[in-house]
Amino acid sequence: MKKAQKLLEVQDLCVSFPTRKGTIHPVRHLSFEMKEGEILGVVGESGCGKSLANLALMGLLPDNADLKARTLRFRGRDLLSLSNTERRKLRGKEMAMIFQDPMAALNPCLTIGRQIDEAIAVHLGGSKKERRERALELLDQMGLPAPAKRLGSYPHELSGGMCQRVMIAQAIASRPGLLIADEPTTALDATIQSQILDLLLRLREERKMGILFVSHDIGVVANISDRAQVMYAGEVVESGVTDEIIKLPIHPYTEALFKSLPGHQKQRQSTLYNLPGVVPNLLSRPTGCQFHPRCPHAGSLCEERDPERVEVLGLSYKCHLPLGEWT
Amino acid sequence: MGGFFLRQLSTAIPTLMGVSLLAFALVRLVPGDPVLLMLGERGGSEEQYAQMEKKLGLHLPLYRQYLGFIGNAATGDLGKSTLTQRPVTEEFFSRFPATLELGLCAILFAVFIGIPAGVVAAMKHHSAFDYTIMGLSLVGHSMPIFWWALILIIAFSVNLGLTPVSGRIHILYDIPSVSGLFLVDTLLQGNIEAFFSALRHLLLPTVVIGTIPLAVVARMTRSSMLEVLHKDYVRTARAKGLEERNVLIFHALRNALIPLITVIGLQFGSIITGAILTETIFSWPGIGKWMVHSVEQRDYPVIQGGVLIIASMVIFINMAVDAIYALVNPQMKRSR
Amino acid sequence: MERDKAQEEIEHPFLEFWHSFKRGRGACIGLAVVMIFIFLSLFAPLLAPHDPTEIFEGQLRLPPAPFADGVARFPLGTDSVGRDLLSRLLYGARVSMGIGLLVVVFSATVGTFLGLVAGHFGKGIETIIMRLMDIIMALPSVLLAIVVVSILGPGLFNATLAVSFISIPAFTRLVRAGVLEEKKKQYVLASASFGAGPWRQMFSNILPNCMAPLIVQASLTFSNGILDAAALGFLGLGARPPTAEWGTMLASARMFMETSPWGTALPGLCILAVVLGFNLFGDGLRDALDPRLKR
Repeated sequence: MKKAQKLLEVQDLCVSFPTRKGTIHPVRHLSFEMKEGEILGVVGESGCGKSLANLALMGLLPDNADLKARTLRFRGRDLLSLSNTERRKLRGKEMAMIFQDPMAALNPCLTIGRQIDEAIAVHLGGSKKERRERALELLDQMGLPAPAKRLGSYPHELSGGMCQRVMIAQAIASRPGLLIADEPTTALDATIQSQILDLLLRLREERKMGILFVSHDIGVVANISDRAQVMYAGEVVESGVTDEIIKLPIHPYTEALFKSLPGHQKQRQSTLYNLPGVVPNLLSRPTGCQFHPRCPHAGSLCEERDPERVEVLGLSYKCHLPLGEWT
Repeated sequence: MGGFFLRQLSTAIPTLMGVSLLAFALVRLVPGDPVLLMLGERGGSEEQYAQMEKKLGLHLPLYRQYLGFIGNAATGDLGKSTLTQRPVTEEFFSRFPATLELGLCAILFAVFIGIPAGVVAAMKHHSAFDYTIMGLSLVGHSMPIFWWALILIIAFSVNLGLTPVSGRIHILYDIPSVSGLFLVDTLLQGNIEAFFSALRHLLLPTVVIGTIPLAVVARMTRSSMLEVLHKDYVRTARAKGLEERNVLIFHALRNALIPLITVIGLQFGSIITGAILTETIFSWPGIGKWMVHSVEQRDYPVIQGGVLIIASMVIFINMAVDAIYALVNPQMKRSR
Repeated sequence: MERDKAQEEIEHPFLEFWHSFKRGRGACIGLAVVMIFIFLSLFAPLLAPHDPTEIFEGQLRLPPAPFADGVARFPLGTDSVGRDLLSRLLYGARVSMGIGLLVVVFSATVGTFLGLVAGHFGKGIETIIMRLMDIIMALPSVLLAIVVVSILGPGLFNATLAVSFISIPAFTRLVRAGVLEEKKKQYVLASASFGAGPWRQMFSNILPNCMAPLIVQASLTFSNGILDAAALGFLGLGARPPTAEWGTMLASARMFMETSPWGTALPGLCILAVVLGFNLFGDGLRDALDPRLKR
């Protein structure tokens, strides 16, 4: 019964797009697992393929995207062999998703009540009255004041934080096992951000719900997740238990992310560390290690050969010159 | 809501005043003696001349003349046609239903073909269907409709004998006027044959007038739909596990149609222009043909009155469109 | 210094525009059509086989040459009074392009001037001008044009004036919006502090900066002008019959459209082609000149 514990199994997930100037591969050989009730954090700069990987898991990739994977299992079911209808029935019911900009993610022309009702109606059904009660209950759980009044409101009448609570309410309406949170706090104020994080942690406790928490902010991920993986240019460059990664980052990119965090312990200078360069152009990827053009430690080997993935003691990394041995 | 209408009215009234001023100035801008103009080409006796001068109030200062003109206009008195000697308002409203029927059919034609075509083109973005619709809509948008009318007549009336070339209904039928719209009146009378006769007469003029609005509506629906389909909330709706049909109807189309209200509203101008040309070609007894005829005959009271009424209608339609837009757009409804 | 550097990095503005423009397929087709019609209208006297008003006795309503009764002397046949159709169409291109040009020159000049005045002086003058533009726009274009013709009297030149008149508001609105936009910007303030007078400012600072939308509007006005003038010609309120104007040609061919449909079909096709060409060209210009409007 080992399989039953696994919520999500992903092996060699690749997403590619044909463009006029050639095929691009924004996500390359992504592999990871999630257990029931676990919070897995995913960190990386924008453009590193995090969002596309999420959409691939949800089955919401644009039509022109090409998805390949050796394994893509959710609670033991092979997602790749499901029909479109079966996949749709899974969406919102067993795996749900919330997005970066909650104001834009809610339909401006429909009331909050209507939008939550849709989510309940499609997966749980029930009479109109039952659904309304369920919606009220959900909004109440989300800590939204005066939920009965809110049902008749339109999204633009609510604040960003309230909209995100509404988004979470409709996402968890039918008790999904997996919630994919794609930068759920990025567009919010710092105080609202921590409220939303607390809410997510509480929901995990109450419902044993797995959360795939994606953010460009390694500080937020360090706070919330059990395990974390760092993505760069469509690949996972380091993954492991969050606490271990914080204590001892192995990949230079992970270290750079920590160093550029304001007020972090790794930062000793008075000025903020600024990671030079940008994420590689997907049409002309560098040779060898994808990170080498920006890596302070890169040698000639890094330029020539793509590093193999190394797995030790529950950690995994992809680097020729891991920091643990280096220092 | 009340404040909104007041604000709308407060911008419409100056425009209306301006239009009335323009209509008023019209007769005075024409080279020559306005009294002779108003009397028509046949002229009149000296007595009639004096009468007309008095009636036009030309002995009064200009501002008094203008006040008199809008005062009369407000009570529905726009003077008499120099050709028929009948009141302009009466002449106008006897012809108005014909144009209304044609205009409504043209709008319905444009909306009921244009919106589905635009939606399908957007959903099949970059497909052959999409390119065909876009190509046709570009051509339609540039169409000289007076030529288009002739081509349709050659094809459908002359060669295929499918549709009549002029009039609103076959001369045999005598339809008691209730609404003035023949499609409605024939049905009220229960005369199905007459209904089909009216329908066949309507067919070509409707297509001709509706062509440009159709092209615009199809193009705008497509671009509005394409924009909406990329919105986050459409992705949210899919992430909720809604059926694709519901995603498209309730989340994409519903939102995409809001800007289209304005676009459709703006087509009324194009319909009047269409009516002027189309009614002349199809001998359709409506406002457009009447206006052209009056310009040819230099029937100035009719031109003056017609311009005033049509412009007022366009202004009120625009107001109504703005109001509908505000009603269906919750972001505007509550932000006031 | 700064400026030299910027110019080194950035392509010449015209080249940049051209690269962007030629990427649009519609834009290129539009440009080709526009060029063809410009060529035809410039060289109509050389290209036309006959004088457009010359009447050939007994050669009424001949079909185009490839048809059974066609004659090689009249490649596209003859019209209802025996004039060579091809020659008339070629001279018609001249008339239509001339109308388009006049409409653009007239309405752009007056519209730009009114827009500058409204935008710069504001207050009462602005209200009066903009309200006037609202009124012109409240009236359906062809209706307003026939009313203007009813004042001026029918004829080609008066029809052109009428069409120009209804094209003014679009320019005025664009220019006024441009002036209001530019007025806020620093450099205008800067040049005012150097003592540049209002007119100098308008022409040297403000106008060049709202040029892009004006050029696009000019192209669309050109095609609308041709279309509306042809409509007036068709209604008998524009060019008078011996003139080889497409709309007027359509109107006189109409009576015989059952027996000789080409006399009707060809002038209309020309109108459609030139209007479509200018519209495509205008859309292409807009996409290339105004990146903000691009998808």
